[in-house]
Amino acid sequence: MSIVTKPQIYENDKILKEAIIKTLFSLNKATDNSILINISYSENSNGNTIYPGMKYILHLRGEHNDTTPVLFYGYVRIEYLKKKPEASILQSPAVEYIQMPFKVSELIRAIDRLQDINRISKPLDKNSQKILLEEKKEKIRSFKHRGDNIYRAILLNAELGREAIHEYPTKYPGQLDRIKIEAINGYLKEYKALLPFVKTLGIKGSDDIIQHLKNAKKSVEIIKAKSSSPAEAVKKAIDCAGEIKKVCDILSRVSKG
Amino acid sequence: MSNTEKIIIVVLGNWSNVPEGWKQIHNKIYENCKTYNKCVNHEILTYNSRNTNYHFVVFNEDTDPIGKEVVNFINGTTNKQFAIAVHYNSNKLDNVSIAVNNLGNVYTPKSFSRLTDDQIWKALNALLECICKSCGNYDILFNKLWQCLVPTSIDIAHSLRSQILTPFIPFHLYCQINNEIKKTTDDKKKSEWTQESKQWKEEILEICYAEIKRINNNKILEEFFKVAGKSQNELPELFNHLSNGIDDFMKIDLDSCITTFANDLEEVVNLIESGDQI
Repeated sequence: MSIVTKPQIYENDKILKEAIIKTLFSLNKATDNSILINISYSENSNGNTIYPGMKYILHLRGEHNDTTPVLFYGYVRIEYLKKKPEASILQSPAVEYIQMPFKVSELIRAIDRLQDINRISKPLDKNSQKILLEEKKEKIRSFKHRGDNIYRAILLNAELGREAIHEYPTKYPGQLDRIKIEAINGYLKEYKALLPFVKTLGIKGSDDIIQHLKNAKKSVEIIKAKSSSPAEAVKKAIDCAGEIKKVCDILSRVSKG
Repeated sequence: MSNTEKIIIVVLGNWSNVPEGWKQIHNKIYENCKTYNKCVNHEILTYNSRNTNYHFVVFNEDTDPIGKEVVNFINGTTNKQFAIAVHYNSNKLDNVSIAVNNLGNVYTPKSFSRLTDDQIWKALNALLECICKSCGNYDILFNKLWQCLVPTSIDIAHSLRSQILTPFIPFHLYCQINNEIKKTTDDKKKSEWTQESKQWKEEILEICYAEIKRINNNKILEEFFKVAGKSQNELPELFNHLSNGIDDFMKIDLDSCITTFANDLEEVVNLIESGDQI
């Protein structure tokens, strides 16, 4: 008799999840080295994803190199799913799908097929790898796009500040107060979360990005301290904008496709 | 649907370097209020067509907390349908989605990106240009964007099918196990099953039975058939056994009935997928 441990089941409906657990227990079916997941399983907001459960596994395999065999289940028939790019993970090794309502004999056969599989070398099929790669590139392009906005906003305030000190050379230009340290801190924090993606893409010059962001932050700290002259503060604002622009220029090397 | 008031809510950034950001819409609607960044006097921008059924509402993505502000706006209106688009770069989709999750008149929010080949952005961009340039195609462009943001017939059919079938699945599983146990000669298994069966009923099946009754009372099955343009001729066998308690319900051949019922629903879904309507 197999020892039945608590299986890894990803299902939002608590009652259905409990029913599946009880079924596996009654069948004495060990699934401790498999994942059972509803194609509609979602941890949080779905956004624009139609099969969030599949997306969850795509990320689990692609980003964490997890090779646990997966049994997807759902109400959609497999012929319809196979036409969907969002379901490309069905082509990956050690992945099965059964349509609900299913016979328990079908469930057992699917689990057995998964458990018969030895070590898999590549967790994702080629199409799923492409999808994941494009997602990473998209995240970096969005990050760069935000950087463009930050750079332009800082530069605009710096230029307005420069105009102001032409008229009032000794007065600290109020426009520089619009440059927020929180924006730079937030951007730096966001970049640190993106760092693993940037590294996998091998973007030229990306090793310098954190230093550029730290330089930008330092410039804003000097501006906020108001310990320098108004002219120097404006120069620091321009320097800050320059550092952000350097980051954006590096990240613009992420190509489409 | 043509008489239903529709409101599209969009969460936009300022995009000072691009003509169709929050700032540009603000400056169009409030021509004498030329602010640099987000205007605190005009936080929610509303644009209506001459046909007052189509309202376009813009929130600035810097509004905090955005989810609460959107919910307050929605709760301040009645008898309207809402579709929501959130700028991908704002990172506010989750905040807004969680906030509106339990509101019945709001479709699931979607994100859009100006950086990708995005159908929502294309439709939104056209509508924003129309507003900024006061073109005459507002209603047409509004409806094009609306179609991008609301679920399609197939989305609705899949969702309703899932809602209808889910409480039947535990019964389907239980019956199969129960039938297997009946065939076995292992007395120990039979004895263990007596206790397990009781737990199944108390912890799972009673709840599912209540949910099936709710689905029946709320005519969700009828709603499902309507999506296919079909009227429901007769109630499936399963629903004819709901009035005398769960024990009576469980006397029917649930394995076979649920399988047949699922196949019937599948046929309807296939019809919608193929674009045919009866």
